[in-house]
Amino acid sequence: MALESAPDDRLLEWSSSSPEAFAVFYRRHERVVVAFLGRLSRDAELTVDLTAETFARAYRARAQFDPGRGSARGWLLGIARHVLAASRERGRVETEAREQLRMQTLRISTETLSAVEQAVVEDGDAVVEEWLSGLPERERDAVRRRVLEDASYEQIAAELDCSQAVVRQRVSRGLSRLRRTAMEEQ
Amino acid sequence: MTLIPELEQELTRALAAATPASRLSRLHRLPMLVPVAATLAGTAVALAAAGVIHLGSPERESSGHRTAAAEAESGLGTVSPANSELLALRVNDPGSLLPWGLRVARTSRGLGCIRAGLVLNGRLGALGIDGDFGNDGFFHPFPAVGTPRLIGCVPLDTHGELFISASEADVPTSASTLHRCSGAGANGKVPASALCAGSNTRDIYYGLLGPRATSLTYTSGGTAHTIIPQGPHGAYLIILPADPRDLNGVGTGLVPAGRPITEVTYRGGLVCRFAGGNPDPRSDCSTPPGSNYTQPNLKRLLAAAPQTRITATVTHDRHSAWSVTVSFKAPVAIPNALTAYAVELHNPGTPRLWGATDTDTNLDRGQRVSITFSNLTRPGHYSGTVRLTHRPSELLALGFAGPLVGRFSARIP
Repeated sequence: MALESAPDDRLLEWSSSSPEAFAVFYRRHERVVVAFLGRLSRDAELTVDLTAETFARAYRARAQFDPGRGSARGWLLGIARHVLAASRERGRVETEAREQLRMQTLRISTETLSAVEQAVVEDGDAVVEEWLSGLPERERDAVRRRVLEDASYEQIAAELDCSQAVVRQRVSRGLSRLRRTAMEEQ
Repeated sequence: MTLIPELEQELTRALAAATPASRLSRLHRLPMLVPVAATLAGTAVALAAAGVIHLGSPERESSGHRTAAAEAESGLGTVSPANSELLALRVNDPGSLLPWGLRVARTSRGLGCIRAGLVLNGRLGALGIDGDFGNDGFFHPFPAVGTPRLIGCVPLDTHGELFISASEADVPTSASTLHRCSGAGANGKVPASALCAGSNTRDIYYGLLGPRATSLTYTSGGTAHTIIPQGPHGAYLIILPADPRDLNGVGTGLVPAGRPITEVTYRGGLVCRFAGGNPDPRSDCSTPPGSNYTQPNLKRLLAAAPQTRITATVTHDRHSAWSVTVSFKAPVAIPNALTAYAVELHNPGTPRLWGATDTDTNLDRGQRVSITFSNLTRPGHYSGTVRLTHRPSELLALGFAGPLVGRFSARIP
């Protein structure tokens, strides 16, 4: 079977012995991950950094991927969200997975940054909406405001005219549902 | 193309390096087995025949979401098997197990390209040593077809002939383009840990001088060497120990460049001399002389462009970002990589450039062109121009100068 037409689970399986298999996996999902992270971070350089750590983590966690529980795309976006959340929490993008792989610091050209910006403009909204599409409307709205717009629970509660506890519950349930369906990396 | 080729390349390199030790090659031990430099190249062929040097996966330059048809009509174009040829020229390198060679190709967009690498069993490629390809010791063929490497392409002349000279500094003896190290002369800020080991890198000079070239002279170690260009294309290939005083980075042009090259002679007694890497200004050698080389008639192409109406549409998305879409009908066709439409957008109230881009794809006359500048945040009147530009023979990148096709303006509130 040619690598380019192999299913995602086989590519991840073969990645242990074939870097090219993971390169095909990377090329297949790069745009979605970039659009997703770019839409959420709104910074092209940061997006590249987050994308690098996301794929390094995906490689590390490749044995955990189960196609019976969801798509590789959802699984990758789950990892990406975790990487983004951790970066917001700590004020820097984690490098643990990249360090494990001994990846070197990237020197990114201005052409690459422009391409990233363009991909985010073109696909960012659609990718994020698709990611949220499986949630009930109330949870989707809460997750969107909390994760995409980085709004505080207090702000969301005021806008939705409900208590902070309810907002927390909706966000928590929504993310939990996404985690179950997408097998997000813990 | 991938969006972040730098990341894809680094991921591939890192994963290759992380493969189990059992896959590491016996190649690293081979130099001790074959210590006589002069015999290395022949020995390598024998080793390859015996199965010691294995064939690895092809080195990949680029791929991605664009279709083959789209790639054939944009950028550098693509190379088909019928338009790619491995030349017979071979040059031995005491530091390498395989001889160096050249491959020339013609692209679907009217460019001629050349590439140097190691040769094994009639294929051009690189070895997985010195940190490249995870030290797998395999021979990794360069792709013979598809999108050519950016380094080493120039426009063909009006007769479809290729005259080209290229130089590359600090090339690993593996011939890989997946460099893990940097040359000392390339960037003074390169940390010592990232520098190549001097004995493992080469400065290489190669090209096609044309059928009338009779000799090329270069200096190395204080000694002048004269070589005879090979074959109907007048091919030459010089492999020297890397020396930051001689060469930095990479370059491509119509005539040789690089400090070691001092003279090229042609039939009829014409001599082109070079000093400091440039043609002697007293001789007419800035384009290949002594042959039937004629530059593409860009003047006629550029003069044929009438002005046309340009429209600029302002849009706003949900994320507080403004975009300007510039649209026009191509007044002349863009049949190949030699010409393109270049669009510039200037900041409000200042000649400062906000952004610029080019079409760089084949276009029919009258075909609608739309280019969008995104993420504009500054309010005011933006202005811009569309010009018909060309790809200079000595440069790979399209320029932004050329006859005016039209002007446009757009107001961001």
